[in-house]
Amino acid sequence: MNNIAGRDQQMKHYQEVAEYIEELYSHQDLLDESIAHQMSQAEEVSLPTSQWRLMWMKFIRNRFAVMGGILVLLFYLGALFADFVAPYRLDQRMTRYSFLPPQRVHFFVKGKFQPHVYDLKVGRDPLTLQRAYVPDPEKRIPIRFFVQAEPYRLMGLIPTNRHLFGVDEGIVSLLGTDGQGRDMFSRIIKGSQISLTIGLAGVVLSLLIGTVLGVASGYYGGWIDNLVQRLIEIVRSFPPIPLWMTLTAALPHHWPPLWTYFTITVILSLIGWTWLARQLRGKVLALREEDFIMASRLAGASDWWIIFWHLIPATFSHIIVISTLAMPSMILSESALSFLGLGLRPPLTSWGVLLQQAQNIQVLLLYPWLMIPGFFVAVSILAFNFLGDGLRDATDPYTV
Amino acid sequence: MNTEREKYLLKINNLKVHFHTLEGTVRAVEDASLTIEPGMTMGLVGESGCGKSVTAHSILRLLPTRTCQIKSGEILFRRQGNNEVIDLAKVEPDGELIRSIRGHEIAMVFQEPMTSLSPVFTVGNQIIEAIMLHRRLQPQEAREYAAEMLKAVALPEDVIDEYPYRLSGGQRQRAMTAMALSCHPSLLIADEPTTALDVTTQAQIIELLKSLQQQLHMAILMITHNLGVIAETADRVAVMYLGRVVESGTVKQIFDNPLHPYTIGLLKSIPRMGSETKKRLAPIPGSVPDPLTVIEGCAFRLRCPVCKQKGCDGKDVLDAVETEPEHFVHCLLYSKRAR
Amino acid sequence: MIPTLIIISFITFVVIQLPPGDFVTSVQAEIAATGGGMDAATVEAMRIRYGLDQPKIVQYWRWISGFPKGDFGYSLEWNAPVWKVIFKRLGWTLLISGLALMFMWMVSIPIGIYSARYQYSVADNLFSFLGFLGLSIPDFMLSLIWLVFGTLVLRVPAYGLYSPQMVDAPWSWAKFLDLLIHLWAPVIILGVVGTAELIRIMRGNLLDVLNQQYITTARAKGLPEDAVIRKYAVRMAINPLISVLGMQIPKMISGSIIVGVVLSIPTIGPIFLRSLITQDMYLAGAILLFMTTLLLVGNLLADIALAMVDPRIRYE
Repeated sequence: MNNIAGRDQQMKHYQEVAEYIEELYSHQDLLDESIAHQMSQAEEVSLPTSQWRLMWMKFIRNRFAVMGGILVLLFYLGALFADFVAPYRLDQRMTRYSFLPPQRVHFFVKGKFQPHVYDLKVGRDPLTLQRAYVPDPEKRIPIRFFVQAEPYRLMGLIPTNRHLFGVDEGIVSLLGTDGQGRDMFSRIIKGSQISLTIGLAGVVLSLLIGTVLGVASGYYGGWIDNLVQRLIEIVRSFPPIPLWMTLTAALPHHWPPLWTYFTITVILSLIGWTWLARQLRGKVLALREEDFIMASRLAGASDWWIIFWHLIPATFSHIIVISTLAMPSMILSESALSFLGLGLRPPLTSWGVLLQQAQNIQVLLLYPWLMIPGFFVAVSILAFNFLGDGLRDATDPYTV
Repeated sequence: MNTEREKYLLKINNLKVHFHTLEGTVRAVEDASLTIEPGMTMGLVGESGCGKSVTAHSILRLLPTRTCQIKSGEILFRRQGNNEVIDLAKVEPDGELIRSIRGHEIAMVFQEPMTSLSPVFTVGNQIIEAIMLHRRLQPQEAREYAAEMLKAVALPEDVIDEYPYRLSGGQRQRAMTAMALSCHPSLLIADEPTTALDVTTQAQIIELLKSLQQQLHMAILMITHNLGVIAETADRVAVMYLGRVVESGTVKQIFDNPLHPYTIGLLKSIPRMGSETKKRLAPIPGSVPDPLTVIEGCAFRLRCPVCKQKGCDGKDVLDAVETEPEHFVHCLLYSKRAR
Repeated sequence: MIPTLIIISFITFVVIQLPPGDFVTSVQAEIAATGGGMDAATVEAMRIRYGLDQPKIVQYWRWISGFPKGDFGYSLEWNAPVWKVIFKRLGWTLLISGLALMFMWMVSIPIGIYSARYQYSVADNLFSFLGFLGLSIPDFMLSLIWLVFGTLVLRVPAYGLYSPQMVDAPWSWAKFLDLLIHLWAPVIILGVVGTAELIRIMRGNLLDVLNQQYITTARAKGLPEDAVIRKYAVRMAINPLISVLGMQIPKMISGSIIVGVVLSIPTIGPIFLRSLITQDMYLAGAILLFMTTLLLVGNLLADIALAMVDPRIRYE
């Protein structure tokens, strides 16, 4: 009996609690208080992260991408301060040392850090009568840092004669020399100026054409879209390398180097923009239907305002990713064309131009270090690929 | 009473499932317990992200093995024929055993009828495949059987040679149902089967499931966030919030006498027929916390309107309170002794 | 496709006409370089003989109207019809590109499937890294490395199609073997970039597909994982690869030119380069137009193949 009474009392209590809760839900002021309570508690739980911060966190976690980014940065720093980094001038001939293989750098003397190379005895191979270099371990030539050597203007402005490293006598040639005794390391560093900027210039130009046509095509639709799409179709029905070859072959030999440089940039972006325009068009087509665009239009914004203040900023991360991913093909195409003798020509020096010397198989087999510029092409492309891939993953909200 | 409870078909005890993501560990299911008896319909209800789908996928071990782990708990299932009970939480995720249960003894129907059938094979192909996997039939017999199943779900017979994209959403869901039921499972898991459909089609699919349940005498685990669907189909209901079952009971107990503040809030937030029209609908204050947050004690305390008023700190360990037979609630307010 | 071809042929003609001067000018320059000279009358006579005195539009019409009849113009440098000059080389180009395509597909699909199934495993990471390497090393660089490595380290014939003593020998088993020994390296070099791309695309597609609801449906039926992958996942993941096939063709064409030049293989690459330098314009124009047509036909074939395997496209 007691048990049953206890049970009833318990049931009554449950009922009361439930009714009380129900009552609470009907009082707006109590609910508001409860929301404030939740907010104060939530703060200690988690903070919302901004979109850019999230991207950055995601990017940083990708070790390959960070490595690629650092390499790209190093490459461009090297190009910017090329005269400082290179121990010799671009066309400095040291005929005594033609076709010198890369020298070995020794770092320690009796356990003390003192980088040096051995002096070279120049002789001739008695059988082949080829020039031969014999390192002389007795005579060490110390490599010194911040030495004074050939004068130049840093970044074309500040006159100076300091170089990152150099030797007082003999030669330091980390990557060997070519047939005229020019230091390959110095030439590669100088060549990076053209190889890396022509890609950049090509991407910027493609970006301009591609953004204008892509955004216009996606935003306006109709006949503009139709026209742009047909144009893209026709440009893309040509295989790129043969078309580039044909166009660059038409460049007159007597043109000044700067003209050739710019024309080749234009030729490279002639096909590059189509890809970009397609990507942006798709993005804009999706964005056009978004509410904020509609809201802006209802507020009386002009087309240009919408395009520049809403569409282009909204596709910004996309544009960065696309341009990073477009860099490799630009660098690759330039070096391939120059390698074939159709792109840049000396005195312009790019990695592709340097590789022209490696085209002759006999030369290549005797002096294989002449193809080292190709490794720089490969490493720079690899770095851009890693970087671009990491950026793409970081900006893509759908990957974990 | 005791013997009654031993008749369960599926019994989940304190299931805990964690996802390992780059951002941290998502505690998708923290503490879920429920019992399904043969032939009955269990409704599992909660907002999206509360872990009801994960619970369902755990039963068939369909969760990605690389990122997801059943931390503890058991999923006891009574097999057809010999009444042997196995713990599905312990079986190998892609082993022979679980595969002989999938589609055969436990079948599943999914939320997205548009994407749950492969677009490159005909409907018939995909149903016949399911039949041939578990039954020793000649291809021709399997095809006839598949046609029969399609007829049972009121689809025209020539659907068998159609590609899924030629069917409407409702038709696809019927086809999915035909496939799921083709091996006469003792349990059908319906994961939001009507969410993506329009209201008329919803009602048809629910009618279909109910009538097929009668014919085949199978249990249904009905997962939905739609309380209307629950009221219409379920015998028993479990309410989930942030990976915990916060309240469970018969459909009548939950709808007429809800106890947990979350359940009360949930019921308050939907219009009900016959209630006084002047009463305004009250939403539950705040929003579901970020899934990465670790909440000790009562999961609902951050949103609970009572918590602040009653001075309940919600951080104590709480056990289920059985307030009346079969009606369990996880709330500290009820575990205190009556004053 | 036909209107596109007409526009393209017109652009091609304009492009090959771009360099200042013409073939006669470069002949003149060559003769002058060896100390000789040509009088104005001879020059004029040559121009008239080759039809170079006609207005450009007439020249274009003469050139293009021959194509449907199988007359692709006359190579001034080789003194032979263009068709005769490129016929055999076109064959080698197609053979090497075709073999490279087969290599790409045979290697990349299994690796892509493996990488997606065992995402983030050691092997997957290794393949990803190798893929990046393959994407990044230019094909001319690979050819150069092969030349040096093959000759100096492996001591195998690394360039040309035959060993010197086999070039003029009649066809025999030995000559065929000799050809095979020479052929495999260029085929692989040509296929490397595409293989790397296809692996990435296949892996990405398969990962996408594996997240689809119908994969869970298939698993929920009780289908073994291998069968799920084979029947439902791979089938869907391969479809987009077919349109990628179309995109591979221009790369194959570009690659075959460069690899042909570096490894001295008689593809159309070396003569194309030569014709550009000597301004042998009909030859250059015909080759450019051939390659463009090849690309268009390739894309068309890829579209048809895609329609054949995907019922959704087939019905639309």
